[in-house]
Amino acid sequence: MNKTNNTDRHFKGQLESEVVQCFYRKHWIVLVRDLISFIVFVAVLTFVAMHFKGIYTFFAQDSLFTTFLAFSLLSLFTLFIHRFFLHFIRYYLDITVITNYRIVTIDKSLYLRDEKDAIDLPKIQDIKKSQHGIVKRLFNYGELIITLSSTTTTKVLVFVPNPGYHFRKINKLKREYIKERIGRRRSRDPHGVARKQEDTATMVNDITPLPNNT
Amino acid sequence: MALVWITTIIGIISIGFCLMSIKILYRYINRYRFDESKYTLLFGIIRLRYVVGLYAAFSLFFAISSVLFMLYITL
Repeated sequence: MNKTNNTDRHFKGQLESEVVQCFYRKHWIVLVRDLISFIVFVAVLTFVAMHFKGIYTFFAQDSLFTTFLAFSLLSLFTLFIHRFFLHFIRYYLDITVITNYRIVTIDKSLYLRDEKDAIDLPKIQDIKKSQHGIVKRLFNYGELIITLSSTTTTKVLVFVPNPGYHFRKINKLKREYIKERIGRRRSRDPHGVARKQEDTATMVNDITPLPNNT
Repeated sequence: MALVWITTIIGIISIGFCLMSIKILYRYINRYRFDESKYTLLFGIIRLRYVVGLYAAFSLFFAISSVLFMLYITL
């Protein structure tokens, strides 16, 4: 049988037989604040270009203050450009992968962050989809609240786009995983069921009625 | 004239940082590939390479224009 080796194929730590079923990035609403600030920045630059003469005469003054001001503004604008684009790139790298075994959240940026969090499908006890508020309903995003069977803690996946689809997908994969595991156990121990029935019959036979002393 | 030199150094650092970021990004995304065809693009049209292109263009444009501005003021 030709089986594909998926080790580290789509993300670091992917298992050999782990297949990516789907993945998602956070909803675009997370970028709105950055986009607004960038629009303001571009508006400032346009203003500078339009009022070039006045700004030129101000900065043409040969004083330490104007030199320092020019240097500070230039540095701030440069930092802002890099910050904005690095945030945008981070949006593309920050993904949640749903595989046939688990849900992996990869929180990565280019320089400062590299976090991974995995939830095994059989450990999921309950999933809740939450979409409260008009904005969430209008733009179709929300939270998936996952309760784990081993602990009382919950894991919340935020800004999930199309949460209904991902909710159904995780539930379906969990069912399939459990079915597959039962099938695997049966194929490994084909007489397991028969033995279980035999054991049950023995137990029933062992329960003999109590002697009636009266 | 010192301001022109400072601006030039900031511009060079900025462009260098941008190129380094793009290099790190491409190294990562080429290593761990996803089937993007199954994924809805941001706002339906924006691909990562457009963002990267815009980033490079903006960094370059801003560095050059600021040096030119400073040269215009001082000379």
